[in-house]
Amino acid sequence: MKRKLFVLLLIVAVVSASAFARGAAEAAPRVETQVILGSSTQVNADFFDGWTNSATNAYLKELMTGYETVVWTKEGRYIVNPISVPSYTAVDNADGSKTYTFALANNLTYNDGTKITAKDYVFAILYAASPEALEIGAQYGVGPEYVGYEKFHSGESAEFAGIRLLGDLSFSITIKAEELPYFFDLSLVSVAPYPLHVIAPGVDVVDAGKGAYLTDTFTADLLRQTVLTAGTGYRYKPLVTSGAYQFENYNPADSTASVVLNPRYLGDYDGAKGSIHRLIIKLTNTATQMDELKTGAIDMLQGISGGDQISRGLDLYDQKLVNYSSYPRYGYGKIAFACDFGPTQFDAVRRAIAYSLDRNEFARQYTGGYGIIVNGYYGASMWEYSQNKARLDKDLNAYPYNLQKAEEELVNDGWTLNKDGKPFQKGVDAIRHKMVDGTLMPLVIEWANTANNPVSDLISTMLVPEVRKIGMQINGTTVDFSVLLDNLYKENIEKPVYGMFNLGTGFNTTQAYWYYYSTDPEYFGTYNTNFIADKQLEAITLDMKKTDPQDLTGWVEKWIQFQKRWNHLLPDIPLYSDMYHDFYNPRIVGYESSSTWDFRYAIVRASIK
Amino acid sequence: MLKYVFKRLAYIVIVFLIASVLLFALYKSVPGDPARMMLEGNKASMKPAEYEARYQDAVRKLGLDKPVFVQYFTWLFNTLRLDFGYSLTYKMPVKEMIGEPMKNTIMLNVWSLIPVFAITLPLGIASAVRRGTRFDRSVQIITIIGYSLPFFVIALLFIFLLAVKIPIFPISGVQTPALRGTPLRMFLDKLYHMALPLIVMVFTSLGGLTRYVRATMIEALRMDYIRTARAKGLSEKVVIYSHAFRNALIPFITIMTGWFISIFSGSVVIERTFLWNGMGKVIIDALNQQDFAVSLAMVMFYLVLSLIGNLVMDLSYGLADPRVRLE
Repeated sequence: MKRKLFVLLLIVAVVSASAFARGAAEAAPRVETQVILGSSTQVNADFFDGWTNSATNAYLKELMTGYETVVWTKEGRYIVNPISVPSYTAVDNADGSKTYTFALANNLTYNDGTKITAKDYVFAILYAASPEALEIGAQYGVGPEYVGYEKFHSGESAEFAGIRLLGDLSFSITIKAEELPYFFDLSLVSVAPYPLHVIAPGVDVVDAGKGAYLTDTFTADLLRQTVLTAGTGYRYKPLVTSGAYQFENYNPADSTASVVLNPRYLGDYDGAKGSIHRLIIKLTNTATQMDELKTGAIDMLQGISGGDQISRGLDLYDQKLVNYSSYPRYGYGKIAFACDFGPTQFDAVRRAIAYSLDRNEFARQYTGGYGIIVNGYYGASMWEYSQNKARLDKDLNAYPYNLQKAEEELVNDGWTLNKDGKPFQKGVDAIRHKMVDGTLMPLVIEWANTANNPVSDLISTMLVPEVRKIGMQINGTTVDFSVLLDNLYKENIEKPVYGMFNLGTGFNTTQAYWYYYSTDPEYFGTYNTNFIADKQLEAITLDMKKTDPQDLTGWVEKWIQFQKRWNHLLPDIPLYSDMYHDFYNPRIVGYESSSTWDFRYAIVRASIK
Repeated sequence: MLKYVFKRLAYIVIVFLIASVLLFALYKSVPGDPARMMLEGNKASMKPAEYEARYQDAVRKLGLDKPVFVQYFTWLFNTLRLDFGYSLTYKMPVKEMIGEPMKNTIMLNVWSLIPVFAITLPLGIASAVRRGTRFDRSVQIITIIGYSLPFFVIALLFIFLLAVKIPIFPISGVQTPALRGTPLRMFLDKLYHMALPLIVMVFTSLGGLTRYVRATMIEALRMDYIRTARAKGLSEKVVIYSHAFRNALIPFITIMTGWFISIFSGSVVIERTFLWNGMGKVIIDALNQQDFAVSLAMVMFYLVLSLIGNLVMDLSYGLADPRVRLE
C-alpha cells in the first residue's frame, strides 16, 4: 500500500512540476510586436565592432547603429544620409586628395537622450584607428585611406591629420590622393557616432589646427575598463546606441539576443524607424528549424538554401502557415584555378574544363532546382547585372557542355602531343601534353577538395570522367579546409601543387575588383587568390576604380568590359548561385528582402499585422 | 591506504605530463594557421600591408613566433594557473566562455542521473530476479530497441511526437526567448526546456544500463554464497539486496565512473539536436572551427577528471568489496 502511495505521489509530483513549468512559460507575456529570427549561426557575446564577424551579431550591431554619414540604400547605392547630414561638401584638393566636410543635424541623440555631436563621429574614427584599440585586441579596418593614418595609427603622431573637428556639428575627412579617384569613395567616409561619454568618459576630442586628437586620458587601460569588462563592457552590453533598436538582452545560456525599439530614433535615410517592438535572434538547427517555424517557436528564417529545406518551407507556405521571399545569392559556388603554374595557367585549359561540364545540370542537382548559374564575376542580384541582363546573357559565353569545343580549345593552345612528344592520338594516348619552355607538360591537374562536400562529389562524377575523354586528367585530393586555404593563398607552402579548388565566394557591396585582379604581387594570395596576372583585366579594373562616382553609365560600361574579359580568361568557373529563401510568419507584412537588403534593413521597414 | 593514494596521485602527475606533451604535439601537427583564422573575416577590409602587419601581430600575440618547446611550456604553465588561453571563435579567454555551457551540461546531466538510476536499478534487478519470465522478455525487447536506435533518431522521434504533433515541449533552446521574471520562474522555464532532452537522455540510457544491471545481478545470483544465504533461510529481499546486489556493485562502480565524467562532458548529439548550449556542443564546435585553445583545454580537463575518477573508482572497490585490498 505504501509503495503504491509513493508511486502515486511521484507521478503527481512529476505531472505537477511539468504543468507548473509549462504554465510558467505560458505565463510569459508574449508581446504582440515581437519577431524571433531563427538562425543556425550562433549569436555570441560581442555587440561592438572590432571583434566578431558573425552574421547574426552583425545584424544586431547594424540595428543598433544609426545616423551614419553615408548609408547603403535598397537600390544598392551609397548616399549621404539626409537625416544626420543635412549638408556636406566634397572638395578636390590641389594635392589630389579629397575632403568631405559634413554638417550634422542638430537634433540627433543617443537612446539615453545624450546629444550626438561631431565629437562622437570624430571619436569613432580616432578610436578605431588608435594604437590603443589594437592593444586591447580590437580589429578595425578604419582609416588607412585617410591622410595621416600611418602616423596616428603607429602612435608617432597624436593628431590624425586627415580628420578635422570643425565645430560642435561639423567635421571633415580627407582621403589620400593615392586612393583617388575611386568610384566608391562615398563608402570610405561612412562613419557612425560612438558614444564618447560611455566608451571614453573623461576624454575629449580636440583639434588645434593640425588634425583631431584625443586627450591624454585616452588609454588602453581605460578601454579595457569601459569596453572589455566582462558582462558590463561596451563590447558585451552596448546600452547607449544610436540606431533604430537598442540593446535589451543577451542570454549566454542559449545564445539568444534581443533588441527593442529606440523611441528617440529619428529614422533611416528614408525615414524608416522600425515598428516591431522587439527583435530576437534565436539559435536553430537545420534538422528542426522548419518545425520551429511551424509551431511558432520562431517567426522567421532567412537565407535558406538547399532543395530539402526550401521544399519544406514551401510546404508550409502551401498550408498558409508562412509567407516567403526569394532572391539570388550575392556570390556563387565555384571551381577556382591557380593561374600561375601548371596546365591551369593557360586560359584555354580553363575554358576546356568549362566546356566539359554541364553546369545547368550541376546547378540543378546541387541546389535541388533552387539555383541559377552566372557567367561572370557577379551575383545575379547586382544592379549592374539586373539592369543589363539581356546584354550580358548575349555577350558572355555560357560555356554550354560541348566536348568538341573543349577539345578545340586544347588543340588551338598546343596540347597536341603525347608523353613521347609525338602527335597525340585520340583513343591511343590517354593524356595530352604541351611543350612549355622546352619541357613536355602533361595535361594533369591536381584538384584540392574537402570531405563531406556534395559539390566535390558532383565534380568527381560530372567533370572528372568527362575531361578524360578529351585527354585531360584531374586528380582529386581530399584535404582539410585549412590546408585547402593554405594552398589557395599559397601560404606556408614550399611548392604549389594544386591547380584547381572548389569553394564558395561572396561579394562585398564595394567589391574592389582592382585588388582582386591586381598584377601587383603584394595582392597575390590576400586578394588575388587566382594569382592571375592579366594586364588587360587589371587595366579595366583600374579604369573602373577611377570612374567618377556620379557616372553610373560609365561605370556600367567598364563593368561589362571587365565581365567580358573575365568570362574569356575564366579564373573561376561559377558553378551555381543559390536562390535564397526567407520564410516568415504571415502576420509580418512589408518585409522585402534581397541579398543586398537583408534582415537588418528589411525588418526595420516591416510591421506586424 | 594513504600511501596508495599518494602513489596514485604521483602517477596522475606523470600521466598528465606525458598526455600533455602528446596532446600538444597532436594539436600542433593539425594543419591550419590560428593567426590567419583570427583575421580571416577582416581580410577583405584591409590592404595587404595592413593585413601583414596585423597577421604578424596576431602571430606574436598567440606566441607562434616562438620555438615549439617554448610554446609548450608557456601553454603548460598557463594551464596549470588555470589560464586556458584565448578562444579564436569567441574572441575571449577560454575560462570566461566555458562557464555557461559547463553549468548547462552539469544541470542536464545531474538531473538525468536521478531518473536513470531510479528506473534502471530496480528494473535491472527485477529483470534478473525474474529471469526468463514474460516480464523479463518484455524488458529485454524494449531495452534492446532503446539500445539499438541511434541517439539522434530517438531525439528526432521525440521532437516530432512531443513538440510538433503534440506540442507539449519546446523543440530546442534553454530558455524562452526574452522571458523576464523571478529567479524561480526563470528556473522553472529552464526545467521546462530541459524536459525533452532529459526524457530522451533517460530513454536512451535505459537500455544499456538496465541490461548491464541485469547481467551483473544474474552473475551474482549464480554465486555459491547466494545459495548458502538462501539455505540459511534468509528472506529473498535480504538475499537480493544485501548479498547479490552488493556484489554486483563492483562492475557497476566502473559504469558509475564513466557517468561521473559524463556529468561534465555533455552529449554532442543531445546538445546539438536540442541546441542545449553545453560542453558537448562547445567541444565539437571548437574542433570544427579549429579553436584549439578551447578543445585542448577541455581535453586536458577531461583527462584530469578521468584520472581522478579512476582513483575514486579504485577506492570505491575497497568500500564495496572488503576482499579488495588497495596496495
